[in-house]
Amino acid sequence: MKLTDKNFSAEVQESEGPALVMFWGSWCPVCKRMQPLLEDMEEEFLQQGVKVGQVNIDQNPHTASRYKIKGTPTFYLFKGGEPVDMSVGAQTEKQLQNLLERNLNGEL
Amino acid sequence: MENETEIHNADKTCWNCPAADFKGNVDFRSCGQSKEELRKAVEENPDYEVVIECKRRPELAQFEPTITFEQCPQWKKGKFGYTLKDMRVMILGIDGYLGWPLALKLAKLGFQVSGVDNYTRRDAVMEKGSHTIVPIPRMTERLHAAKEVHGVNINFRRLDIRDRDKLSEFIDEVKPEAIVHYGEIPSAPYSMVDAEHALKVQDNNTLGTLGLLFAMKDLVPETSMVKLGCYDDETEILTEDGWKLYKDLDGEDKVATRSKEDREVVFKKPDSIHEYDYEGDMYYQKNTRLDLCVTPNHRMFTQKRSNRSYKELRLESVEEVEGERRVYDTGFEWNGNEEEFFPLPPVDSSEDDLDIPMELWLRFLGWYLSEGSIRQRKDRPNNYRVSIKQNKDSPKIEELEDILLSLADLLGKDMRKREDGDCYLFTIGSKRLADYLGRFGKAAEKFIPKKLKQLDSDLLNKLLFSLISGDGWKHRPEGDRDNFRYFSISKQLADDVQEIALKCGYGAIVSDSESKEGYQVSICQTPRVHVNHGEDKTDGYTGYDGKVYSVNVGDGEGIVFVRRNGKPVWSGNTMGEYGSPLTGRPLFEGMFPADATLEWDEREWSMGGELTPRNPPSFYHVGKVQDTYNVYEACKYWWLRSYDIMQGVIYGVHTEEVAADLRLRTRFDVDEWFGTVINRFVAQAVQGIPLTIYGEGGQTRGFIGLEDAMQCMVRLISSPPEPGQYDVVNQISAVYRVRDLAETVARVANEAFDLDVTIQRLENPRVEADLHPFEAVSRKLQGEFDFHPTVKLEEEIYRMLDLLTEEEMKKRIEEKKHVITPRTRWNGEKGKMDVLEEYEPGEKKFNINLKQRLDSIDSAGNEMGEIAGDGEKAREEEEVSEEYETN
Repeated sequence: MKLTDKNFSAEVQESEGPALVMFWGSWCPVCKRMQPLLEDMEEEFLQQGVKVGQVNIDQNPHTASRYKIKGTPTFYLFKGGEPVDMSVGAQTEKQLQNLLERNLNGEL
Repeated sequence: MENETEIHNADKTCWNCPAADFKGNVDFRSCGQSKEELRKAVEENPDYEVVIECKRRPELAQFEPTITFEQCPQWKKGKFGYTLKDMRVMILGIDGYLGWPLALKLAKLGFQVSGVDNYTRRDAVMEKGSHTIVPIPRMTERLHAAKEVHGVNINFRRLDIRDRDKLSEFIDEVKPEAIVHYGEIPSAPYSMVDAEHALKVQDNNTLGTLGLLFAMKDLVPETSMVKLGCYDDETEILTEDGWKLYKDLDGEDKVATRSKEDREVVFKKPDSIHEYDYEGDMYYQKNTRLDLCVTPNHRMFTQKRSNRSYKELRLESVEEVEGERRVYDTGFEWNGNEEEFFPLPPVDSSEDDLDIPMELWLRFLGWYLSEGSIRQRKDRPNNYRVSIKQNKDSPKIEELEDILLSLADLLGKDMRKREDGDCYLFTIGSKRLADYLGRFGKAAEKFIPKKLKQLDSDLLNKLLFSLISGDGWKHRPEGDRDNFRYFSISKQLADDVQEIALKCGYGAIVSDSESKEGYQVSICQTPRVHVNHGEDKTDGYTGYDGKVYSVNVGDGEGIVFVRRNGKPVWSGNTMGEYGSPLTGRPLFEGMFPADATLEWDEREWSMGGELTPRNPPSFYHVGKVQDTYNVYEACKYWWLRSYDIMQGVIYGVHTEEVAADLRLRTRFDVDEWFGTVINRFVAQAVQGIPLTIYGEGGQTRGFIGLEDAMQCMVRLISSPPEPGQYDVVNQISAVYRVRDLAETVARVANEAFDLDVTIQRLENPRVEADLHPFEAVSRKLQGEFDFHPTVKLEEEIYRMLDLLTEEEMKKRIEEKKHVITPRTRWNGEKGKMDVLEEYEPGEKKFNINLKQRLDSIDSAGNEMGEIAGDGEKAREEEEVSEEYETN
């Protein structure tokens, strides 16, 4: 899901369920490579009740600045609209799955 | 193949478009380093949004960069998706095998094509004693024929891309919206001849490309400030009447000057003004607040800084300051006139002037210039009203009211205040006042009268802060320094505000406004600009050919603004740099995909986005690997945009445009250095030389036909990367083994042209595995760019044989048959290779199957995903290693 300054609060902050968000930039080769993986995982994660979204930090400076993005790609896990965990740099599918499991233990 | 909804670049937006000029604090953070400044700006301003201006549609002013190619009238739908109307494309190496057909194809499609070449390819081929089999005329004749046959104009300039000055000049002149870099020497064997050739290839290719990257970086837009003596023709100087271009100075203008010891500035008539032609290097010093460009004999007026203190200002030569840390003092001290009163003239000349205390007048005028207007009621011609409108929330509202009450009192009139929406509207109904203020015109014409600009700095300060109360704001309210911004739609008023700010002792620069139509003056308390502060040098030399100017007024100085422009790049690369890893791991598109993982010590990491290891098989390819890193880093450092196109081996003679006339044909080399494998086989077949395969002939490569390669280029050019994006595209349409290609060429030649072609195995002159697994990934061309190959191998071989069996071509091959057989060995020895075996096509059965495939999205239907020759489906092929052993 494409997240923007405009829809971020409705889709993530005011959303009850957990959301995994990747902050990325077009100049970041790692991010460009992560995109298809994230898109592939979107449906699978949704079945577990987890939203998956992406924020382009240049196009959405308010959201990027609110979460003080210092490196890309940055993965944030939100629960009840609040960030609960994060990870910077390329991630394998297993690592992302682990990120969910260690924070949403029993909730999935 | 294309339909309304599936045009590959329909959904791209202004972010991809070369006409977009990003405004405001857009900051493409390499490596994601977030700039504190930007973060604060965004946090403080909830309305902050990224805006652009369109260089092609200035009438849109500033807007969000969200228009899609499909919606934009500048992008037209065509055969290869949307293309930018009259897009300016520069081709480096336009005279070559690929450059020329691409130029014709683009020009025919309506692109504005320019190109450069220094004929390295013609010279190198001649140096090796060969020539192009298909004769090609001189460039002038080619251009003439292009005009005659296709009605297109191509802007050609002969230059070496390593001549950065000339290249920059041409780029600056053409302002290309895309650059295709074909300006490299494309030959592995040529780079292996000897040290001299290896050096020549790497020098031309690697250094040429690196220089190009810098030229592109330097032509990126920047606005700032300059000073002192012998300037280029874009330089303006401060005169008593405001800013003027040097070339517009006349003998009566008084220019701002100061002495070395004293910061006080005075306006003096120059003793002389010089204008002369200059061709050579100019020294530049450039950062966000400073931009100067002077002849190298110029003296620079700077300070050194050490141990937190400023040393004295000194005049130094360019050589002394180059690359050194210095401080430029862009401010001055100003001792202007002290005036107690402003005489407001009467409407009727029989009356006297009305003396208004100068301080009050300046405070009023500042507000008026920023926020005021004059109204005259049509029904009552004598009813003049001077109005100033201000938001009710403004903290300055009381101050404004005080000023207006005092002024109205002096004029003997009432000051009225009424509500107007969110604002208060203050009015003074004075004809005398309205009559005088009428000279300032409408908002876009406003200015500060010359006489007032001559006042002393205390008074000017009053005027400045009153102006800022209206149309200005404090840049970082929480900061302890007073930095302000002033906005005006009048260029003259912005220049005047800068001038008075400088006279008040501030540093000030004028730039186009970041957020709306108009000009912004940035005012800061410290007028000192530091250069060469950290590791990054901000100065250097640049080529110049034009008029230069100087004025002679003792130790005179001037202050100016310059702006320059720049563009994105595409570069042609080769898949060869990947080499052929014996593990059989796929040749990814430059970088590992995200689901590639590294497992070690029971842990795992994603390899996503990391550049894959390269195994360059010659010194030529080593240079290409270096290019890859140079381009990759330049995108990261400077937000250049690049597609690195890893071309497979290109074959063929045909594109629609080159075939239209004999004079438009592209070159066709078949010698051992510059001929590509299929093209060479065809020439050997015509000449009766057994087709030469090296070793086992099991070398496997990705290939693409000439017409298809050109089609890909058009699609890529029309779908530019986003800012800072470095991306790699593998450009191949099929994968073949060399010995299978030989079989195919021999079969077509024997069956369709009645030739008697055999195949010979030579000892391999290269150091390489001549049997190896191969798997290439080429998903993007089909996935993102909707590319579908149209060239069929056998058809193109037929077409080549048809052309090369013409009498003239046969003769030209005959003349050069001695350079067709390889002699260049990778081990440095020279001489003919031993013939290991000679056989008839179809006679030999190959039972070695190493895993070979082309991994593309579209595996069904056409050639993609299939190995030619054996005709087996690649994906079904068996394991590799054992059979390799048995051979």
